Amino acid sequence: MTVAEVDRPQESDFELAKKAAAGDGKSFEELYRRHYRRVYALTLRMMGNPTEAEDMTQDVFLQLFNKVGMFRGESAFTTWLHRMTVNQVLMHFRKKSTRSELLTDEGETPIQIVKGTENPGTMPVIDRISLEKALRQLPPGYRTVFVLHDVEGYEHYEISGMLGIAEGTSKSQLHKARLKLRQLIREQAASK
Amino acid sequence: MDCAKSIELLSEYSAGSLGDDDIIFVKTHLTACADCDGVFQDLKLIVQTALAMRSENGIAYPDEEILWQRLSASRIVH
Repeated sequence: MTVAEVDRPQESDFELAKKAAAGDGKSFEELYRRHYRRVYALTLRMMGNPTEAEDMTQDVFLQLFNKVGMFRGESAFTTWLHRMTVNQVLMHFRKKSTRSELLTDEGETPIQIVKGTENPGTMPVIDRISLEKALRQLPPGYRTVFVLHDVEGYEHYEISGMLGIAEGTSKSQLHKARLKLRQLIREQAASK
Repeated sequence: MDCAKSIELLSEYSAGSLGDDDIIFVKTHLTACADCDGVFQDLKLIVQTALAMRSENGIAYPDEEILWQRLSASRIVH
């Protein structure tokens, strides 16, 4: 790296986006290198499968390549890209299954409320590893709402808009998702 | 009966979005029922852990270069 390169201030995402929209491949590559980890992490959380997440990351950047000119700098680029990623994953889910399969718990294992906290020593550890493992086993409809709300921090009214469901349905799905995760974590602990 | 109702309300209780009567109901029940309180504590822990997952640490990322090459190739194809 030369002195000139060190002294040169880093271009903003907005500047890179404008250049990329005008056909500058280097600027698009820089956007990819800055943000691919963020996009991959989000797709992995939503999809639960590394191979699918990798394919989806590629799809998101293809989408970005085609739509980067639509970014006007009104919000942070990361926020805009985050939303684009969520939408792309949701579109993928819609293609894979009907809306009812995605958003209801028809056919899913009923949630068992496992009690038995009398002896705290028998309580399984709820940590990131056990939660990630349980999340991978969660039905897609539950996982989507849980990831959007509890991990990504979207409000129910936003999830309602994204998924085309009532706010009450989003709340109910979230609660069922948390209970199901608890059940899965307990089952993991019991099988050890 | 109280347990089922209490458990159904736990997420809303935690979010602070219940009406006064339901808040009193859940609070009273959790004080008296160790099992339901255990479920409540677990759910709180799940929510806290989920929040920590927002960080991108601890993820095995695909190779940056390989992914970029795949992306470049598909851009040409498309």
